[in-house]
Amino acid sequence: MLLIVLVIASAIAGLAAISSGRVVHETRTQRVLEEETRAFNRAYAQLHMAMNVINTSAYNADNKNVALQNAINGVYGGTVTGVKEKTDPLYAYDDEGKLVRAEKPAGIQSGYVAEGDAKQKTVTLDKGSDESWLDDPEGVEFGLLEGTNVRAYRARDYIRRLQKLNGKNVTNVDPGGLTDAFYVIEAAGRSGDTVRLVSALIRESEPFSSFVFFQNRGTLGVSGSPRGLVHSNQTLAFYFANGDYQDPVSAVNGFKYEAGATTENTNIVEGNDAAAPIELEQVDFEDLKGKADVFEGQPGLDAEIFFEGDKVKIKEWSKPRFEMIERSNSYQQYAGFHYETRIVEKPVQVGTETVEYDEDVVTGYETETYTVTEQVQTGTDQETYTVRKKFKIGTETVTKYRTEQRQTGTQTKTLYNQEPIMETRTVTKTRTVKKLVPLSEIDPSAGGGTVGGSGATDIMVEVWVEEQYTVTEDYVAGYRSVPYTVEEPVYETVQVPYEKTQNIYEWRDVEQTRNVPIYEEREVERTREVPIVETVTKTREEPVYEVQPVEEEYKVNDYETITENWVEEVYIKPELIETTEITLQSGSGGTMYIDGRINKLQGKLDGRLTIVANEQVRVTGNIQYVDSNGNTAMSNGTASDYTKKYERNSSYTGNSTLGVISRDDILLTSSIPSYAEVNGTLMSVGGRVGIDGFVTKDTGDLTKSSTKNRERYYTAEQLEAYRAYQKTGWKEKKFKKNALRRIGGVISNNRILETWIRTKKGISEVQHGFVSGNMQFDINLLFNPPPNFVEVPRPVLTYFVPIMLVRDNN
Amino acid sequence: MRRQHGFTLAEAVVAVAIFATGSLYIYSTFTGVTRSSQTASVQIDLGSQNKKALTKIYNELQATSMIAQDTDGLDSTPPEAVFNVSTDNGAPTPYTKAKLVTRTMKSATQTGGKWEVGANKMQAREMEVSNQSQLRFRKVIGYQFNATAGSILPQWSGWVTYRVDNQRRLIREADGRPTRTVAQRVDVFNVNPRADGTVVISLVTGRRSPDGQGVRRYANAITINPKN
Repeated sequence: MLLIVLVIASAIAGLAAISSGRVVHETRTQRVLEEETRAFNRAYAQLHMAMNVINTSAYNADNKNVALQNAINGVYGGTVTGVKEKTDPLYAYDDEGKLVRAEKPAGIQSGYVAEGDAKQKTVTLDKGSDESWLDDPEGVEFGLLEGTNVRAYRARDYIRRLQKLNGKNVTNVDPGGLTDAFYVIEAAGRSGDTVRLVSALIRESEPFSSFVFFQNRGTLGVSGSPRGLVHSNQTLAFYFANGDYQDPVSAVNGFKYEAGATTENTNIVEGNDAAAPIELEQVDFEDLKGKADVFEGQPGLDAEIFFEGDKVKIKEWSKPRFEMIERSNSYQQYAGFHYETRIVEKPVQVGTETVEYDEDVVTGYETETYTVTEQVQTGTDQETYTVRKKFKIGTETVTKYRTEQRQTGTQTKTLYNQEPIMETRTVTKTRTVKKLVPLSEIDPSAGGGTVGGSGATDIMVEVWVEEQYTVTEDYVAGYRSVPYTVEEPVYETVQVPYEKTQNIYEWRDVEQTRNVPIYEEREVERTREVPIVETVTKTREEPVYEVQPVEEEYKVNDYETITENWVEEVYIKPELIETTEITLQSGSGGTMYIDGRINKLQGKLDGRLTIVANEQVRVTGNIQYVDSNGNTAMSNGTASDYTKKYERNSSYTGNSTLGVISRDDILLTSSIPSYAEVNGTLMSVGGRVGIDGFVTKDTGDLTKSSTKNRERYYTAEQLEAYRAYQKTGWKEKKFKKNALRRIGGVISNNRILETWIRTKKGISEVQHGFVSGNMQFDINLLFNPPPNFVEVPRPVLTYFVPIMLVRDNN
Repeated sequence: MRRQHGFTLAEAVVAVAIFATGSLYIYSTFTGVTRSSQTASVQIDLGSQNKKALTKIYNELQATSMIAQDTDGLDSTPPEAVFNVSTDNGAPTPYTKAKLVTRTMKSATQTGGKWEVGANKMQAREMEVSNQSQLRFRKVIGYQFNATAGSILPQWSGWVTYRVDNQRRLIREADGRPTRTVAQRVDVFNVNPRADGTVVISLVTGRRSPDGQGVRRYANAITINPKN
């Protein structure tokens, strides 16, 4: 019995111990989790404050972030050895928060020092402490960001640190040093005995290719759901309902909501309506020219560029131009006369001589007899012949009949009228109307776009939609017969006889006679007088001449030479100077510089290329990314069936990227196909990106190209260039095409324009440009910009990584 | 992906405050759930498995993204959604409606035109319980060097899935990892992504009552703002 009691007691005690242990374990696990959460949050807070230091930092002459450089150089502590000099800032924020180039080194805004809870919980991970397992592998160094305990590593070094923390072999990362622009900052947070690390990947400068739309002047209008950054240095207008902006959107002068867009129906994940301006003017073309490693065009020459897979053909042309050439013309003008004595060789008569000659002379006439044959009438004959004649032989009376209608009486007749029966009804009818709708309503996957014009200024698609409407109308439900009577006369037809007297004739043969002459041929002799001619020899006196020098006086006209000089404008046609073909190397790609205008740009590109253009760029055909097998990066890019979805081609295996940086306009021109596709990021630093045939006004907005507008807004130099190019096949021309599909971003100093809408009598219609548009941002540009693409001097925090492997002390 | 530019001091202060609020939120937003017509009474237990589960998810989701991502940085790969919530119709749902009660509200009465604030008052509100959610996501776990691009790219994990199995267990599944049970006796696992880039996760779990009389239910909700 006692044994049983002991067993039961032991069992109860055991169960109690298990239960108690479970509760203790659960409570402890929960506490550890809570500490972990707090530690993470404190680390995140440290990172945010460190980002403030970096974000507000100035940039130096090498476009380097001063705060990051100072940290990575160990100016504020860390394990970095070697250079510890502060770098001089070139860019700094002014009083208005605008990032400007500093005249002299600007002071560094020191950021924000951790205070309060975050500061107290900051953890310093010293080497040699009991947390030495967090030490960096050999060769990896860090520096501290000013005023924080946040570490800054080069990103390639931090990957090695992660390898060690994860217990993996530490390898050499990026031995070629390609990733100097990438840094990782790491913060440690502690709660209780728990330490957690959080790191963030930072790119020192923002590639301009990260912008899907960037506009420096004028209001930028966007719609749909574009990916990539959107920024306006003035106002950013959101068009149409249900806009979705997952990546940051920013504007210096605030946001506007237009054409049905509201703050409620527009989703902006990260918006800044009071952003600092980003200056396009800082783009250094000389620097870019120095980076041209695959081709540098000859000074002053235009070019045509054709992409042919991994080959690029460049034709360099001299510029079309007018030259003032000096001309002259000389002619003789009569000025009077004078006399001159000349000695000339002339025949002079020195005497005469007697010359004999023969002459025919008629000495008399003789009579000659000759015979001729003649017709001579010798008498007449009488001839009898018969003719037929009509003779009246008498008269006769005949009876004839004529037809007459005679009324015999009247009759009553009943007739019927068909009268319609009218009723009213309501009818639903369908009509087709033209309507402009946001692109996203038709194709939710489509990206954003830009439009312009006197009405809305964003991409919209013109579609025919069927619309039902009701009308009340009268209609004929049937007919009824209404009788009426008429009195009609009754007639009969009768034959009335009458008598008529007529002549009786007879035809008779009558004989008649006539006289016929009788002729006879007779020979008749006739006579004539014939002259008698004799030849007689005669003589005459003829003069004899000799050639002798003779003095003569002449009248000579006097002339003076008149020379006229003038300057004439002569058109000089462009001439093909040189054709070059280059092959793009796979991998990092290359940069090309063209000094003059790029008059043609088109083709299929397999490779990574940045084109730097010193003048205007004209896109004249499709530009498509392809891989080595010829697969395009996007499907249905040039399909005439616009309902086909513009999407990534799963067969594509390439890494093509095109960036075009132009000092002047980048224009889509009239020779582009009606269903066009353009792949690439287009950046116009001083001009605009958009359709040809428009002139930029002083405000950065656009107006149609006309003689009046060109004279108003073009410089003299631009006007002369315009005249010269209008004589070539590269001339300016407005156009209207069906569709444009694009991947890549647009960065423009002046207004971006792909569609010009005319509103007339309340009806809007696409007048110029592209009726439909589908624009998608190439998200790869966020990580993999075109070679040497221009960067904005501001840091980009891209990814956070919480380090989950850090162990607890207990 | 979160891209941040030019934080101001005010924003930094707000950021810290949000973190603090986030921690508090776990404790106080939904302190309990009263029984609906189908459920038993509820008792608050801050040390419950419920809160452990939410804390795990909270920490893990920091590194995911609500936005489609190019996960390998290669041009040939279109962006993919790395965060996905679907309805798991196969998971059991014990009830469809619950009354959640928060104790943070105070009662107030108006006397003679003057308001008097009284003691804390349990503020009840209804919550529609949909079918169970299935949460799938990928997260940034490190960085990698891409020689072609000459850049550093994020390194994404494989898919992680949280779902309720047919034994009403909230389980975590990950590529190449053993399945883990995160919480037992799960009544509600509701994931609600919001347009502002945050996600609200509600978890209601049951536990046998210490007095052996029925089941107690515990409810918590948490708002998470994924960092990437």
